[in-house]
Amino acid sequence: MAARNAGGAARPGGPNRTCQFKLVLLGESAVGKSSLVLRFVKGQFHEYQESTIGAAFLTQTVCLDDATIKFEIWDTAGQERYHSLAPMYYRGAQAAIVVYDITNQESFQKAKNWVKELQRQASPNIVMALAGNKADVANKRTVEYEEANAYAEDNALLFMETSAKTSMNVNDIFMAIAKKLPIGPAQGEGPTGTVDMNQPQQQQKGSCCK
Amino acid sequence: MDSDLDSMVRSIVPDKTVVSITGVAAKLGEDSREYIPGILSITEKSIGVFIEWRPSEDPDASWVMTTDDGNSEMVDRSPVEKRNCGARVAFSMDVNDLSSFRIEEPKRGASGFPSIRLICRDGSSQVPLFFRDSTTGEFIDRLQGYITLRRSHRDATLVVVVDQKSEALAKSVSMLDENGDILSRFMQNPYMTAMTGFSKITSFVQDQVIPSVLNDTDAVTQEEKIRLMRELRLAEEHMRVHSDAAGEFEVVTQLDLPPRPEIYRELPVSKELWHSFKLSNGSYDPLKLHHLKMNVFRGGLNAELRKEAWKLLLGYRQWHETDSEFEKRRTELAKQYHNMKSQWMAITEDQEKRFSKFVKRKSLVEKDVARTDRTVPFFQGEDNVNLVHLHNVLMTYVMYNFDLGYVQGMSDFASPLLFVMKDEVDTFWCFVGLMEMTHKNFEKDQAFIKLQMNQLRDLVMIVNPKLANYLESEKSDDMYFCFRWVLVWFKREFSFLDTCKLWEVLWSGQPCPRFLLLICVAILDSQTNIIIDNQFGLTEILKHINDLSLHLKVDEILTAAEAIFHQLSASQDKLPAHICQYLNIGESAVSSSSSSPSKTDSQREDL
Repeated sequence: MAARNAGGAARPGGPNRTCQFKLVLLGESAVGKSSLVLRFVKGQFHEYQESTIGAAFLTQTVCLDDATIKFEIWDTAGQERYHSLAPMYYRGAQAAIVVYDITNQESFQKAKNWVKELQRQASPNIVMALAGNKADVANKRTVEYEEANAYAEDNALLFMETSAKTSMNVNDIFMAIAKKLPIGPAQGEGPTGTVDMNQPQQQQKGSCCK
Repeated sequence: MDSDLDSMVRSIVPDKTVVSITGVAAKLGEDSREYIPGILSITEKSIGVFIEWRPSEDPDASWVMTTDDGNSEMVDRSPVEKRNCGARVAFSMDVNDLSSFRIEEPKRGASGFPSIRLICRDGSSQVPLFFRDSTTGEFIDRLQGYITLRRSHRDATLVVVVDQKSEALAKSVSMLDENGDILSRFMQNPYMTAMTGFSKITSFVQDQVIPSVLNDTDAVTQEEKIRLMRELRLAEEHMRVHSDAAGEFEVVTQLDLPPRPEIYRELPVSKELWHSFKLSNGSYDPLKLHHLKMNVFRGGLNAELRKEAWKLLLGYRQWHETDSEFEKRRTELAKQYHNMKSQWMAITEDQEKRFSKFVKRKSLVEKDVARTDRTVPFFQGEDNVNLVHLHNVLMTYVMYNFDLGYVQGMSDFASPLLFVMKDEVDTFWCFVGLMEMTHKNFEKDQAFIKLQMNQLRDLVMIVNPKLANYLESEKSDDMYFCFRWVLVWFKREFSFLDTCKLWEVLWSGQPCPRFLLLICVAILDSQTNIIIDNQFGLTEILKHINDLSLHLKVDEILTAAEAIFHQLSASQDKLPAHICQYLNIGESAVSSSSSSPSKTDSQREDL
């Protein structure tokens, strides 16, 4: 629950630092990427969430004990045909959630491919999470929790089964990512914090602690 | 410890509502006439100052619908529906996240209410709010207590929040007052400077100079000043060297287009008018065909005509075909449809185990049919038979063109066709016709999309160089924020009925084959000030463009696009050859000219 923060305001003049991180959602089509974002950002769920064309961009802020984390979330289209666009969206991302549908074995295989691609192509320090979505229909499950969990451990991924519909683990997975992100040095050391290192300079708005 | 303190403070200090204005109604979408009554407030909280709008809790508060003559009538919707709609558009935002707002007053003498649409720093926009019981004055006055506002120089309806930092910057930079120098020129008029070919330098100034000046806004030392100047000169010289090679562009960016003519939309083509183009045997007078298509282009079609006319516009029926010829062919095509349909229907579960390519396509269709236009009444509800029809049409298309298969976005093209045709066979063959025009969008290499993006960039460069330069300086000149527009022909940007209108205008093929791109240019052109004045970067631009969805006025955009076409065609002799090709010559000529200037060539200077 701590993840919801009305409007995402940092306290003006407070001791807290605001860090901005780029997060990308990847995964097979119709596994619930947009629904996870919609639940996390707006607390809503649409049964017939329309497919994403191109990409959508949303922001949400979470408060940790010592910092405020502002997520810049890129929600991408899942279908294979649009795969060639993906690098544009995961380039420079500091975090990624790779989503699969627990009722769809194929989507789990796709998720593994995404993880491989990110390991090869994305920023080396990217924080990756694996989300087994649609946990509310566990009776139709074809991907066992243990199987996915073991895979996640082998690849050092955060792992949770989630449900955008019931909101189970949705905030939690974002919070878990937030906690793993490198939070820059304390104020006063200037704008080139640790977070900033992998970023090209034109991204100044996008990626540093202020 | 501090956060403990903070949460204590939070629990002790109650929120203070500074102003609360009732009768502020949210409008759901541009073509919607429904207004949700609600309350707009500014509240001081321990965590900041928030602008909030929430729907009125009074169950009797009237949802109103404005009729065309400006009168209101009640909306008939269930309380649950009302609550859901209201909750969907409710918002609470930190004043510090406000970047600007658009304020529109009703035209003098016309009925209507003043409205405000808030635009956030991240590029998103809130739903437009209509002040039904009061003026916007009180809200704006109160807002000024927290932030500094000024009207945009370029657009009287746009009010921007003045960033304290940039004010300070302007002051401190005025100390770097070398006359005629690029930096001072930049500060006086950043966009003009960018326009005159220094976009590389302006982004250099934004990236390098501004942060370093900001670090010390009170005093810029003499040394610092000299260092900045030297760096700027170097950058400027660097530019000169590079620009020599880019000769052709000078002409392009310097081109002065004639003023945009005023264009009016005409009434939709009526049944009577349509039939006046028909000969007695049911075919269309070939001599009047162009005239008929121009009529469709200028006004669209009456809804009752669509079923008949779309078949022709989409090439399902030939213009020269008589009624009896078409009926004969239609029977034949129906047979073909049922053949192909029975092919996929006959595939058993057992066969599917060894037919993965088919299964893959089928599962994509199923996933997308379930979530296509489900808010449109025609597709609402669990066991809606129209979903079955849509599924059948798309599955049969998979058999018709197995190599292309099903690609996301196709269901968006098929659904309005089914809505109009109400018949699987007719929908299918219209869909085949529509895919003839659009299938390249769905090909694997995405080359056609890239080509259109390049063409769009070239067009923006000519019509609105200021915007083109800004986009380049923000690394957004790949135009990928327009991907959705181009892929599904604005299906996601307009309501269902507006989409129908826009599509039939495009299907008329008038006045040029790439009119779709001119519509993109017209929309971008209308957003120039918002994008530049808010200093949107790549992500904010994408978000802003995405959020225009359902808030665009289809007629205004069509007239603007047509006006731009006239501007361009009046300057035909001065336009570069590739631009003329997009506008005048068909697709084959365009694809052979894919040697349009590549991004690396586009460093330019047009002095």
